[in-house]
Amino acid sequence: MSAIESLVREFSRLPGIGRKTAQRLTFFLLKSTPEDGRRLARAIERVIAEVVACPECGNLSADSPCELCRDPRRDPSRICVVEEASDIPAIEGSGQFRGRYHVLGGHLSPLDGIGPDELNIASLFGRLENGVTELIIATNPSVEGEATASYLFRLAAPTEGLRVTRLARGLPVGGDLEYADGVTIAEAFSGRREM
Amino acid sequence: MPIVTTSCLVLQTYRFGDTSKILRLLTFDHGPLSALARGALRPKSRMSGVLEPFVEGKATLYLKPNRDLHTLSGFDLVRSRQSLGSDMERFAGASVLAELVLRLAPAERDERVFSALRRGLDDLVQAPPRTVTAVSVARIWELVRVLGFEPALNRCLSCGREVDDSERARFDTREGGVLCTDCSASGDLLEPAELAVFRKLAVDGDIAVPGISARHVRLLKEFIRIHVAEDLQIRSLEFLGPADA
Ligand SMILES: [Zn+2]
Ligand SMILES: [Zn+2]
Repeated sequence: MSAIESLVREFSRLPGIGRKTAQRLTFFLLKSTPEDGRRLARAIERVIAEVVACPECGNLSADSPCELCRDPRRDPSRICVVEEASDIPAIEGSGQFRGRYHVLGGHLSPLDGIGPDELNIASLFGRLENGVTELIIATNPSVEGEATASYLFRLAAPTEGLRVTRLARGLPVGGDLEYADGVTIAEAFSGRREM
Repeated sequence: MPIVTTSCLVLQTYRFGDTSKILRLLTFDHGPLSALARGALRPKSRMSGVLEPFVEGKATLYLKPNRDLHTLSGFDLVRSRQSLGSDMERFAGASVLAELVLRLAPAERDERVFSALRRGLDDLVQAPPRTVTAVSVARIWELVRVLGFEPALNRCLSCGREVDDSERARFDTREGGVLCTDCSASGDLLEPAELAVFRKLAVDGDIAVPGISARHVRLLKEFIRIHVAEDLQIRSLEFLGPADA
């Protein structure tokens, strides 16, 4: 396989990139300066070498614990549970939440063999013992996200002094948090309700 | 490229790329098939938030001859069944129904499979909390029967003698049914009451039963693994409660 073809193939494996776009990206790089290409290669090398899942919350970060867990201005008594680390920027963008996060790494999906043991759930309950007063469940408003939320609620509800809330409707049903805009998320946060 | 419109039930969905979804469907007219819903994840798409597992609708599809992946060009929602996510038991039951169809449904149109799945999903949506396991189990047995498998519960599989309502019998999962106590000393010994519940659930599809033992759920799972699924793995069975006995 030629050098060009091998780069086209790598690009076309990325989400949302078809073969045509992969070719366009490849030829764009070939027309740029060698330094532009090397900078991209180095940036990719760096995320691979440096970014890890935060041992506290599961967020992806070059720091361990991540910058959100280390920030002393964030309220450690509130934890917002999300399916993926990629949901965090959307919630941060809403400016409504100044607590900590917990990344599950997906949602319950019996057909795919994904049960509670396959998700980052045990460590969440370890964290709840340290003075947490509100657990905000921000899984996606899909049927799998709902099932995951109800499962977490059933486990967390008996914890004394803990309020368990779910983001309000208004988020499009079946949608993906990652794509919701800041205003929609802000409204969903302020209208969150007890489960 | 023929365009068809057909009723369908969504069995499973995957994200595809940034904005699209791949759907595994059971269609009424053409049996199970896979379709790509381009742009379905875009917030402004008319299909956004609609194409979820267990949803029922009228799909408009471009069928590509000799291809495994067709194209979904339209979808009119008939019923969403979002509340199947309201607890793990409903969700697990619905998942088992969907997965059995996904792995085992005949490749062509089959009204009975379609109806059994639709009825199972509807009943799970409506089931009062304490009946969810019974509804799950009865509707899974019903689908298993429609797929061509049925446990033998009336006559001893060895001597052929009728096993009546007043006697105990042994359920032998490997044999796929009951044996009288004269013929067998192995397998699960079922008391008359438990055998009666077994018949109600597995043969009559009756969900008005006094309660379901963990053992019955285990026997259902074993029967499916040995006789129905054989080499295929039905992953969601693992999540069907109550816990294995
Ligand atoms: Zn962290
Ligand atoms: Zn016998």
